[in-house]
Amino acid sequence: MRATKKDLVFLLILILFCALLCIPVFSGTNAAGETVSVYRSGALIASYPLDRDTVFTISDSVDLTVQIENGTVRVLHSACAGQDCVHMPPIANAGQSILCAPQQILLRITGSSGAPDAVVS
Amino acid sequence: MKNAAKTITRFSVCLALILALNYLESLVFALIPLPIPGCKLGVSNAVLLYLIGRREIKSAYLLAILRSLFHFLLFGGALGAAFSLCGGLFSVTAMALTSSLTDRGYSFISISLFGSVCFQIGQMLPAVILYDFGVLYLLPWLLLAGLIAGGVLGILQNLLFERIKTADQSA
Repeated sequence: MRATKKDLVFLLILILFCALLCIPVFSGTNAAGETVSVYRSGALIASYPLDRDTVFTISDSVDLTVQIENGTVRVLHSACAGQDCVHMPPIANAGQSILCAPQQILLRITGSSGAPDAVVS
Repeated sequence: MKNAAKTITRFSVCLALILALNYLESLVFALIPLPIPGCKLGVSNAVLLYLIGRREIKSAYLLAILRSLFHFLLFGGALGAAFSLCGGLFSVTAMALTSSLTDRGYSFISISLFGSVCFQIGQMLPAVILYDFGVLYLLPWLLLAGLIAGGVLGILQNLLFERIKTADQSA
C-alpha cells in the first residue's frame, strides 16, 4: 500500500483542524501575568508578584523550589520521580500553569491587579 | 478452532509488543528533556493501528485498556495510566471510524494521522478536567508531535501490510 494524493488532502484538512483547535489556546494567553498563585490539592496556599525576582520553596511534606525571574515562572527543583514539572518550559502569561501532579502542586499565573504582595496561610 | 488459536496467539504477541514499546517510549523520553510532561508520542499505537488494519476493533479497544492497566500495575503512576487510557480510547475510536478509508483510495497514513491527533487530544483531557485549563498551552506542541508520529507510523504500517498480505496468502 502506498501513500496517495487523498492522504495529502487528509493531512491538510487535519492540519487545519489542529490550527482551529489551537486558536482558543493562543487567544487566551496573550495577557501578561501579574501574580503566580500556588495551589496545593486545589487550595490556594500562596501568591507572589511576577515583577520581583525571587526563589521560593514549598515545603511541609512537599518539596518544590520555584524561581520567578524577569516575569517568568519555572520549577527549579522537585522531589517528584517524574521531574515533569522541572522540564516544563517557563510560563509568563495569564492563564498558563505548571503542574506537579505527584505532589498535587499547581502554579498558575493570573493577571489581576491589586493583589496582595504575598499571601501565606 | 485453528483460527481461534491464531487469533489468541496474535493478540498475545500484540499485547507483549505494545507493553514493550510503551515501556521503551517512556524510557527514551525520560532521557530526552522534552517540555512535554507525562504525555507520550504514541509509538505503541502502531500495534493498535495494526489491529485496526485487520479490522479487529474490539481487540484494539481491549489492547488499549490492557496497556494502561499493565503499565499501572508494573510501573505505577495512576495519572500516566489515566492519560494513556484516555488517549488510547480516543485513538482507537478515531481509527475505527476511519478504518474503511483504505477501501476508498486512502492509505494507512490518513488513519494513523487521525489516530495520533486524537491520542494527543485524549491525553490532554484528563489533565484539563483534573487540574486546570492552563495546561492547554502545550496542546499545539503535542498536536505537532502527534502529526509527525502519525505520519511515520502510517508509512510503516503501509510497508507492513504489503508484506503481511503476502505472508497470510502463503500460509
